[in-house]
Amino acid sequence: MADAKKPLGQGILKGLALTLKHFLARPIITVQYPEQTLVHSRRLRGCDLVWDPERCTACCTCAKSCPQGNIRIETRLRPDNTREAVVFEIDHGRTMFCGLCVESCPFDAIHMGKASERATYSRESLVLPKEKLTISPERQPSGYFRPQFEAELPPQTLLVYGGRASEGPAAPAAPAGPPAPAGATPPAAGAPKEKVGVK
Amino acid sequence: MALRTEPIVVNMGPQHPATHGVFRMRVTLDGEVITDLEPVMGYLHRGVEKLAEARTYTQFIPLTDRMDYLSSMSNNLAYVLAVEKLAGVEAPPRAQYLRVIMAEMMRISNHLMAVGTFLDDMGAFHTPLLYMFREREKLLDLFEMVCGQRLTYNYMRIGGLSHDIPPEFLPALKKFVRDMPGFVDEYDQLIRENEIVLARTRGVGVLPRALAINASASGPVLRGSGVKWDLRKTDPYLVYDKLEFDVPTGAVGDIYDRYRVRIEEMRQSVRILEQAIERLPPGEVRSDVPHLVHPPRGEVYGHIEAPKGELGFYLVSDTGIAPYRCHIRPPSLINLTALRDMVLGMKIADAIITLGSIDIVLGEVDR
Amino acid sequence: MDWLRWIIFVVIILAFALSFVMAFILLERRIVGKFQLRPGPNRVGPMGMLQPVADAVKILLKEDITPAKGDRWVHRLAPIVAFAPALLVFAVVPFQGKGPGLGFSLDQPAALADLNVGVLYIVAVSSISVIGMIMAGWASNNKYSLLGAMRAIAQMVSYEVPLVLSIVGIVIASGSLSLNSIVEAQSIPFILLQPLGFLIYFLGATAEINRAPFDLLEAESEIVASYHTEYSGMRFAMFFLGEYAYALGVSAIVSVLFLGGYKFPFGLLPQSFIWFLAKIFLVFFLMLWVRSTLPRVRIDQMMAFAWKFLLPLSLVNLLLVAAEGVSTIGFGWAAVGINVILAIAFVVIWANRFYRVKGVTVG
Repeated sequence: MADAKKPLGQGILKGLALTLKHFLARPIITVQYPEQTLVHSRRLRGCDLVWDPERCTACCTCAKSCPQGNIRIETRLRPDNTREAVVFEIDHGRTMFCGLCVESCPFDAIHMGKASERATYSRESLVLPKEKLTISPERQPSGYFRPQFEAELPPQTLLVYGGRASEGPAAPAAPAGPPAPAGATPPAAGAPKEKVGVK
Repeated sequence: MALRTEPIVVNMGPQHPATHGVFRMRVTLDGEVITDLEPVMGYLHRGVEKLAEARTYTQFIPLTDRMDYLSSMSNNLAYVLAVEKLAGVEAPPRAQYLRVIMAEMMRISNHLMAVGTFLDDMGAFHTPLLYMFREREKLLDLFEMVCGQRLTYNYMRIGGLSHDIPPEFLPALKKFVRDMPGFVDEYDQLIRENEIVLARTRGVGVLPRALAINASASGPVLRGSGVKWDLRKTDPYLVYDKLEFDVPTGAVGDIYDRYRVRIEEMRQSVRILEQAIERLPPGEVRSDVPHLVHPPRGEVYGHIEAPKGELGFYLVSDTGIAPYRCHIRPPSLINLTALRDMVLGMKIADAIITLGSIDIVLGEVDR
Repeated sequence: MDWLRWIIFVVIILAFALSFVMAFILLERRIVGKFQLRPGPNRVGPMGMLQPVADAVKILLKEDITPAKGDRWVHRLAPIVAFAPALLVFAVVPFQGKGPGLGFSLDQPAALADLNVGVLYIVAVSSISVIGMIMAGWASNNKYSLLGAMRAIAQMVSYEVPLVLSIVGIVIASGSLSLNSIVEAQSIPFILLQPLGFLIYFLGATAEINRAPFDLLEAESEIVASYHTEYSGMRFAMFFLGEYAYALGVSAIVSVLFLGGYKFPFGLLPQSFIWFLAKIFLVFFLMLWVRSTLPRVRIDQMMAFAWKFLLPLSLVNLLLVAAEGVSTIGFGWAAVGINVILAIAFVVIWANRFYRVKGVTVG
């Protein structure tokens, strides 16, 4: 496959030239995470499930569709003959966020969340009861299988476009910083020092 | 008179850096020369086949993601194709084309990882790996855009796809397809004629043509040995028979050939992507299949050309909502069985790169 | 006054070596990062400058483990034996020469000892570290360590030969074994006068200090961490520092022997230790560049490279230098032209021959 007549050492020199080229051009392709972040997909299946108690009819379709049997629901009959969920509990340590529950819900009552930073110190705190699962300003649904939310979310930044959302001059520039997590150093004001430039 | 020395037995793994996971090689060494090698598998056994019997057909799809986690989309595809064959449903044309696009993106992504880690095993200190990750990240971005996650996609459904692609997907993919050949050229510049790579890989870890066939190898390992066997051509599924591409093959069956086959396959995948994007029809992506599939009684073997080789699912149905039996034919397990024959008499360093060139993922080997 | 001078120099050398080793560790990670399209460690302190400090603190807090069935005393002694020679090398390295320099002038060469057998001393001292590696490999009672130690012996012994032979060329040209006189003799840097010698020395030295593409000793994908697999904490740190100290030592020796040490090229500017340090960084950068590009060679290929490629070439180099020395050509610009052309010719011819000898078909 390679040409045998080429002088020896040429391949090594070619490689050296390439690495030197990258060294001199310095196209840093990594993102400095806490300070800079890329915007997630609108359909993100993040580390979060969001439950909407007002839409839920406690039909348990989500629990049946879960491959892990990971959704625990206890229901009660209301006086007006509808059902409500007394217990709605998802172990976030066990779920694999496959999204089948979201897909199967006939009333759009359970959504994938768009958060991705949900680390805790204990496994117990990952078992979320319905109070903690409820949709709230902190727990926002992503657009996974929910086109009604998808359009409102910011467009995803793509590395194909060098970390911008789309091609063209009008694109919003560069990843915006998220609200800094408590305790972390706030991101430096203004433009980040090392600019995210991807070939 | 040769000096008789005592052979030493080295247990490489299960926590060895070069075994790509929890895989153990019990190597008998005479100095640096391998006199015997015994692969020990099963450290990552999770009983996926048994789990399938306790899940509905749809519920098993996310678990296939976790077998060969570097090419989840292909696993999804192989499984849903088998179930569709069993249930007698067919995906709409748009879904078929999208499946091809996803499978070929997955192939590029997998080969980038395979070649990168293989060169890492050779001691290239991450530089080729990171150059390849640059492109892999772009693909993972696109997968994330489509299905919300970067590694475990769970995108295919029985009778189609879980949902359609977003409108901004195709322009981004087109840009990627335009750029990718240039990047492959860059890898070539870095590695292809490098004398050290040639000296390390030429004539090393040779899998002769006959042995490759007898060992039932598939994928780049088989094609590297010069057998022109690609299920996309020999047993076309989806719309591959309408697309134009070549099947690259090697000549000798050594490590270099396998590496070249992978690089060439990336170029071919780019070609397929170009055509598939162009011909992508509008329409539905999911045919009307109930959430709980009740396939008729019977058994079926569905296989596809996954990036690592022939990935097959053998399913038996007793008309229930879950398969009565599911057997998986993982390509890397079958390819791995030829390892011993490839490395006997070689140096220990050769064994490492031979293992790297087979491109195994332990999630798939042990299931 | 000699005692005072020695004490001062010991302090200077220790400070120089340790601070440069720290700088090298950081620089290596930063520069290799740049080669690999990423910024490298940049979290601790400004531009990641305190990263080596953080690493050092971390590593010193680790438990010091001795394998239960290992040879305890040998295991404990090995890092010291491996590390100490790296510092000893700097005893004869001249930082600045006698006479006026940039900024200030000296009445004698700035070196701990301007030994008249300096080259011999360096060759002898730098070979000691291999004993430390073998001790570590043996005492760890670990198969990877033993394999690594075996590789160490093979590698060190074979690469010593072309290495020394290439230095002999320098000695002939300069007529002295003292490093200071060698620097003084370089009105034309020896890299131009003996390009072949430089190539051999650089490759040999790269192998001696186990850097890519000859880093078989710590081929992490093959034999985990080789002879320091079983080391942790402080003792691992000594091996680690020792490696970088050797890299520093080799960079210093290459700049002294081939790049004209503290002299500015062709004497355009007055001599100064600044040029010397700059050359050290230059050589180190070259090593990093090679490291971040090339994969590792195999053990038999590495041995073949030493015995079949470097050794014949170093003999040719020696012959060439000796012939020029006794003939009327001498060591002037005429010799530079001849040697550069001949070096390229020899390398190309012998490289092709070398490949055919091994029976490897390329392509």
